[in-house]
Amino acid sequence: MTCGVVLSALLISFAYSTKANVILQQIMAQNEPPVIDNVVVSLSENGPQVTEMTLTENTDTNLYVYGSASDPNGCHDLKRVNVTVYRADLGAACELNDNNCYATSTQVFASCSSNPDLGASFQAVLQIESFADPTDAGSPNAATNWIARVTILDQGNLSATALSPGFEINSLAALGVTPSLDFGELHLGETSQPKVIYLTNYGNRSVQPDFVSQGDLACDSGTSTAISSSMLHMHTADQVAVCSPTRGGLTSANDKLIDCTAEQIQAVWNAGVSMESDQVRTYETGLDEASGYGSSMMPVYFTLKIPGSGVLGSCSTILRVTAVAR
Amino acid sequence: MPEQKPQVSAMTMLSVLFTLIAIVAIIALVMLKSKADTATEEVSVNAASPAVDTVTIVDQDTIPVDAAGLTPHEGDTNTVTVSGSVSDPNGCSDIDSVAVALYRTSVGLQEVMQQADNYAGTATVSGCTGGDDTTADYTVNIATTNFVNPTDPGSPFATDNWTVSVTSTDKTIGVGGLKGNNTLPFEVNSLSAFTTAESIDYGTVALGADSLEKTVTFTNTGNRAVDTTVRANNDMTEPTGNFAVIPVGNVHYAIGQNFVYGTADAAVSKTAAETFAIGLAKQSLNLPGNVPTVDTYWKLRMPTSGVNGTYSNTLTLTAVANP
Repeated sequence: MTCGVVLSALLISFAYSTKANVILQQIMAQNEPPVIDNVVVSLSENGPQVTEMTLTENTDTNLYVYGSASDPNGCHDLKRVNVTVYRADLGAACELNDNNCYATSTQVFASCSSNPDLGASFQAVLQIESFADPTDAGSPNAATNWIARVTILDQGNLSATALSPGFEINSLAALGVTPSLDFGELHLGETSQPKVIYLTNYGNRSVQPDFVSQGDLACDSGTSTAISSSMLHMHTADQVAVCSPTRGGLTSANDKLIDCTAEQIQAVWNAGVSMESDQVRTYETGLDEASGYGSSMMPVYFTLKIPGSGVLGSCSTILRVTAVAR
Repeated sequence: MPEQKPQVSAMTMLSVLFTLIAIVAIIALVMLKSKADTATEEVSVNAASPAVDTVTIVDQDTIPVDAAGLTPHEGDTNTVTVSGSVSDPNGCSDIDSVAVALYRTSVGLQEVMQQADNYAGTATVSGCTGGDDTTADYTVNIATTNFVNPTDPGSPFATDNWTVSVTSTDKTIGVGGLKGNNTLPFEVNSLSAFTTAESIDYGTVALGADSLEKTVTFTNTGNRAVDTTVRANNDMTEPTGNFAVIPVGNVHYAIGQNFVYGTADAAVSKTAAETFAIGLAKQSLNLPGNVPTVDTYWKLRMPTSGVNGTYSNTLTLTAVANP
C-alpha cells in the first residue's frame, strides 16, 4: 500500500507530456488509358482467327470476338468492352442492323487476378444472322469484307481501340418452302383451284427459285397410271389475281382459298408454266435479301389438271425448289 | 442587684451618644471635602503584521500544482488559481491587499514580467466579517502560457523549480503597510508539442512521376525545443483494394527546400518511428510573430504501374524534446 502511494506520487510529479500529430496523406494516381494487346474473331471460344464465315440458313451463328488488354493502372481499372462487327466499307459508325452492323458489349474481364496484375482477357459473343451481307467473291459486296472493332474503356472512361483482322462472310443462297401442296380431292378432268406455297429467303443473297418436279405424280391405286407432272402448272400472283384480286396478297390468311370460276380456272391453268418432269422451271420473280426473319417471302401458285381417265387414288410427287443467287 | 442596673445603662447611653456624635462629625467632614469631577482612560494598541496562513495552487483542470506540477496546455494558457487564507491580529479589516507571484525560483520576481519565468496578480480578499474577525480568504487566477519554462527532470532547468509567493499587506500608515508572506514550491512539467497541417495532398501524379514538393510547417505549441519522429500507419491504399498499394517508403521528406528525391532526404517507415531533426525552437517571448516555426518538405514518388484512384494513409508525427 505504501509502495503504491509512492509510485503514484512519482508518476504525477513527472507528468512529462509529448503530443503526437496525425496527418492524413492523400494522392491520386493519374489515370492512364488501357491498351489492347490483340483482337481475334473466331467461330468458337478462344478459337482461331476466322478468315471466312459460313452462315446457317434461317438461324444465327455465334461469332466470338476475344482478346487481351491491359491497363497501366491495373486490370481492375478495365471497365467495359464495346465490340462492333461490321461490313468494313460502312465503317464502325454504321447504323446497327442485322445485315451489316452488329454490336455488343461486356464488362467481364477474365484472368484479372489480385493486384498488381495489369492484364486481362475479354470475350464478346455476337449472333450473326443468316441474312448478314456476304462479302465473298461474286457477292454484291465482294470488294469489302467484315471486321471487328474493339473499344475498351477504363473506370475513368479513357479508352483504347483496335481492329481485328478482316474476314469474309460467305454467300448463303437458301429458301424455306411450305412443306406440302395439297390440291384436295378432284374429279377426272377437273382442274384444281389455285393452291399456294410460300417461299422465304433463308440466306443472305437475293435468290431466284428454280422448281423441278421430280417425276410424275404417282398414284397409290395399283390400277392407276401416274398423273403427268406436265399437268401441274406454276403461276404468278398476277395470273391468279383474275380470280380473286383482292385475296392475292401475301399476308392474307385466305390466300389458299382463291375461288375461281370454271372459266377462270381454265384460263389460269393455260397461262401457267407446265412443270414437266425433271425440267427446271425458274420462277420469274426473285426474292430479295432479307432484313429480318420472314421479311423476304412470296407466294407461288399451282394448279393441277386431272386427266379424263385412268387415274385413281392419292397421287403425289416431289417438287424440288432450289435457291439460285442472283 | 437591681440598683446597679441604671449605672450600666447610663454608660451605655453615653457610649452610643459619643458614637453618634463621631459619626455626624465624620459625615460633615466628608461633605465639606467632596465635589464633582471626570476621569479619561487612553490605550495605544501596537500594530501587528498580517500573516499568510495557507497557500494552495491548482491548475485549470483543478490538478494540485504543488503535487503534480504545472503542465502547460498545448498552444493555450493554463490558468492557475492561487488561494488560501490570510489573517491579521488587528482584525481582518486591517488587511489591505494580497499580492501573488509565480516565478522560476532562481530568476525571482522581476518587475518586467517575462511569461516564460514570471507572473503576478492581485488576489481578491473575501470572507472578512469585521470586528474581532481576524481571518479572510483570498483567491487569484493567473493565466500561464504554454511556453512557461519547465523545471522537471530532463528539462534545461531541471535543477531549478518554481515558487508561488503570497504577500499580504495591512493598512499600517507610514511604512507602506506591514507585510506577511508565505511561499510554496512547485515544478513546471515539460510539454513537447507542435501543430502541423492536418493533411498533405500531393494532388494527381502520373505513374512513375514524383509529386510536387509539399511544405509541412511545424509550430511549437509546448515549452520545449523539439524534433519529431515520423511513422506511417501503413502503406498508402485506395478504397477498393483492387489495386497495388503505394509503399510507405515512396514518401520522402527533408529539411531542405527543393530537395532531390533520394538525396539528403529520408523515407517514411511504417515499422519504426524515425527521428526527423527539425530543430524547432521553444518560444520565449509572448510577442506577435514570436512563435517558432520550421518548414519541412515532402515528396511522393508514384509507382510505375498497378495503382489507380485516390490513395491515403496517416502519418504520426510525435514531438521529441530536444535538450
